[in-house]
Amino acid sequence: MKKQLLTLLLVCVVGLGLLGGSVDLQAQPGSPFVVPAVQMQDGFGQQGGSVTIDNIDNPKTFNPITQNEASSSAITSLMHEALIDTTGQATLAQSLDIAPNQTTVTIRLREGSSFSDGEPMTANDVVFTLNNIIFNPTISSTLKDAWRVSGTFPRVTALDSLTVEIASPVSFSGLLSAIASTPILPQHLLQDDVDNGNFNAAWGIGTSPNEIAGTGPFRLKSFVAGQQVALERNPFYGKVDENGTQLPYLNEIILPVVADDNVRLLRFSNGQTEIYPPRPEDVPVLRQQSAQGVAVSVQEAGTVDMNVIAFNQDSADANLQTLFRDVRFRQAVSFATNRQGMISANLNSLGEARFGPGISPLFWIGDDANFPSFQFDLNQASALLDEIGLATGSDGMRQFADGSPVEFTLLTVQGSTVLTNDAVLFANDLGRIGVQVNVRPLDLNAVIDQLLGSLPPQFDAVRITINGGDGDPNLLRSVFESTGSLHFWKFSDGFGAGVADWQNEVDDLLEQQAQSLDLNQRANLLADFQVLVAENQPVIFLYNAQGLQTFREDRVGNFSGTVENATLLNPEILFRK
Amino acid sequence: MATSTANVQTASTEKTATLGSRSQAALIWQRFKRNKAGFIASIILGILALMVIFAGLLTPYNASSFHADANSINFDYVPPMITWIHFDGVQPYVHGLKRTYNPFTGVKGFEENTEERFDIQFFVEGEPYLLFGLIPSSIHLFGTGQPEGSTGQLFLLGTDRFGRDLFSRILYGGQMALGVAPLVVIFSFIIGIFLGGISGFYGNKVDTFIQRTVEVAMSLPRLALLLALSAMLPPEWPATARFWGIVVILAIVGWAPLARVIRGQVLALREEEFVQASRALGASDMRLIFKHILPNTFGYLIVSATLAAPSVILLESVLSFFGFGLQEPLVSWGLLMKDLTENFQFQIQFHPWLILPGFFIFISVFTFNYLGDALRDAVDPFTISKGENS
Repeated sequence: MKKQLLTLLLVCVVGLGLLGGSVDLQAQPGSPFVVPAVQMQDGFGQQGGSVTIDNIDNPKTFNPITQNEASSSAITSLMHEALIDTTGQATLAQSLDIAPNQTTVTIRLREGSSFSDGEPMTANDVVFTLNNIIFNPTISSTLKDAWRVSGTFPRVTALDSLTVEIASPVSFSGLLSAIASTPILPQHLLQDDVDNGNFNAAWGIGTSPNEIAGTGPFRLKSFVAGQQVALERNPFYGKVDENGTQLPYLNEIILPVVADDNVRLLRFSNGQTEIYPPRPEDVPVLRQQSAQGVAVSVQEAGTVDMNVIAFNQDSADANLQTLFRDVRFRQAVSFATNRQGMISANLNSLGEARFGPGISPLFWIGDDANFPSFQFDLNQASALLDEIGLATGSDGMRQFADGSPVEFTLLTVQGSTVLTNDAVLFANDLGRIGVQVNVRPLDLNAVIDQLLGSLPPQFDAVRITINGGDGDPNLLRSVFESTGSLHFWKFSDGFGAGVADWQNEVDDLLEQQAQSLDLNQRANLLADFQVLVAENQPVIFLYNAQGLQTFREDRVGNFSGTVENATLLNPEILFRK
Repeated sequence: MATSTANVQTASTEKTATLGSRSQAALIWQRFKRNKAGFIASIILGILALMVIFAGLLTPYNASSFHADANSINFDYVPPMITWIHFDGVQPYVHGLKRTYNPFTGVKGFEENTEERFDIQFFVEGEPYLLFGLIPSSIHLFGTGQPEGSTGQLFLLGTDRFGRDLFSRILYGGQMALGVAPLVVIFSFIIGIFLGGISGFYGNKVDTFIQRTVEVAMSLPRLALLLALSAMLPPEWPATARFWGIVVILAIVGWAPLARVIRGQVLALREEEFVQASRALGASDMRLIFKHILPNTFGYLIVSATLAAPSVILLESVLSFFGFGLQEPLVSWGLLMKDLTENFQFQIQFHPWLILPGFFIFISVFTFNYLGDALRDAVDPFTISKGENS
């Protein structure tokens, strides 16, 4: 379980369009941002206290730009914050002006904003973060994809010490989303690392806490490898509640390292931790502890993540390559996939079947009545395989025209129960239509290496989760465009030529919606995109899990959830009862 | 003191009295039979061995049938039905299965639907399988004879998350556990006998060299070495190749203590008169080792083989448990235990029957140990065993 979320992590932002106009809710210059009371479902908290939440592993880095897995992002997300929030509201920034030509955004910073080490945050820090770090070709970061439009980056300039202008060369629907996902980093601490070309290794886990600063609600207090990370409140944080109490409420957040899933559950049951993101099968166990103050919340299934089985369409085996490129085969496999079985057996029935790509709920049409659907139907699957011309041999297994058996290896991630169990169920059902699937669990890094490590990729097939971040359609481009960096099933020359017609159409649709600023027009383009992808099943879409949260309601107030294991949402308003 | 002297006398008189009429093997058998615990253990082990050898015939289902229909998995987490078998006269029958749902915990379960009745039939047509991995057949010793989607199923020990029959999986898994043990023992004996024999026979530098190697091999941390070696198996190997890889690895880890015991035996035997006599007649070294000396160590070999088997079963379970051993679609007891522990609290609270494979590991290791003890006592003519005391 613990690793299936780490795969192919995209960045975390929320889907919002560039709607035009000015967002300037808080006109008082120099005053801190006031968190509206409606966000606090348990009312105002009092300052003090600490909350403990287990982290799945040692963080690999404290660098919010280069981090790419959940155990690190659980910590960096508490230490860093962007200028605007995910609804497009200016929070740490004072105001946000979108020019009438809709390609330029002017951000005004709050007077007196500072980093957690007390140094002021200025327009130069914003320019430094974007121009010198995010847009720097020598620095690897998934945030790059969020900022790129028609192959280039926006131009960022400081107009004065508190004003920044971000100008995109063309109209760009993902601009606000990109701003909302980018933490601002302190130039005074990182300038040397960037100049020395050393940024990728900067803020490693050995860094002293006083050399790390951010704009988030907490700052690093101590880290003992293998034991825990302790974060303390950032006394310079720029938000208050309506009473004027400085946020965050909590004095400390402790994140002990506990790698074993069962131990984390046990520690939460025993009251050693306050918050625990449960596995689906923990829910029945924890529901029985409601008398001890354990609150379980089960949310709607998300629309963003993609649990998929993908085939390498550039396989070195000529038979398999032809087969995997045949849309009829992929449809047949999709029909032969028992999604309800997977949900029932592996998610304790806490999930929903999916037939198309994940995308932000704003644009999602996956539950429309006319949306392409591949309900479990082995007869239809067999009929499609017959149509391709895969004859059934004497042993009941399908054969290629040259008599060799239709057989391939399906990779899964070792240690992930859910991925491997999905694969086992899938292999069983494909066996029933005469296709031999060999399930092979591999170490996560070995799987990623087989997907992305070489061109063409080496794998036959893989069961993997694509974490869609917030589902912003512009992030999907790296997955679904033929030239995308995460387009790991390929069938293209890597430059967008020689691809299937429908794939060309997908590329066009995604580029068009990126440059469109009209919400309806974008929604139509993205609806076409979703139907096209679902019809062609470039990867077999499986299901989405329902969001699960458990916490001690007798001890924690204003808890609004976690994502990707231990990453807390709205940590600044969390308080200790 | 007096009793034991008397016993020794009895034993030696018996030996002299029957030496002419009874062979060594018969004597061992007689002594073995007198050790009740060992004898019972061997019977249990024998039954277990027969059960796993005839797994295809004895089980109503295959190890990996999911019993799924068009919509979902039908029979996930069915409780053991062994207590749900009823009798109408001599005719055993079961009721149909009906889903239950606990809205508070969200846990699904099953209960008997008393309106349906399915007779248990014998030698019934069912899922096809290969008996001994060779003979195709579809006759099962017992079963309800109902088709895949029917509610009339017989899951003696319950099912797992996919609706796979645990009884079938335990027996098929036993083929791995009880199959790995002899294979590993044979492999490590080949290495151990060869090196131990040479070491003991030649002595001097050869002996020193081999014995120091043995000591090095014995001081390596066994489990860590095992995990490291299994992690080195190429991941692209298919499951069956992996099986043989695991066998070889377990043998590599296990040969050293054996080589040491053999060497001690050979060291003692090479000075015996019959060896000297043969040497005087000009027999070659290899003839001396393999024709004269090693056959005299066979008693010990059998005993140590029996005593080595349980540790092999445990090691295989541990390896599979950690995900380094056998892998799906193969079934082994270690893998079944792994399934249990992945969501331990959930499984043990709502599906406690999934711990049954652990019971089978326990039984087989336990009986192997007792059998080994009994054999050791029986083979060694100078041991005053409990069996002879009673």
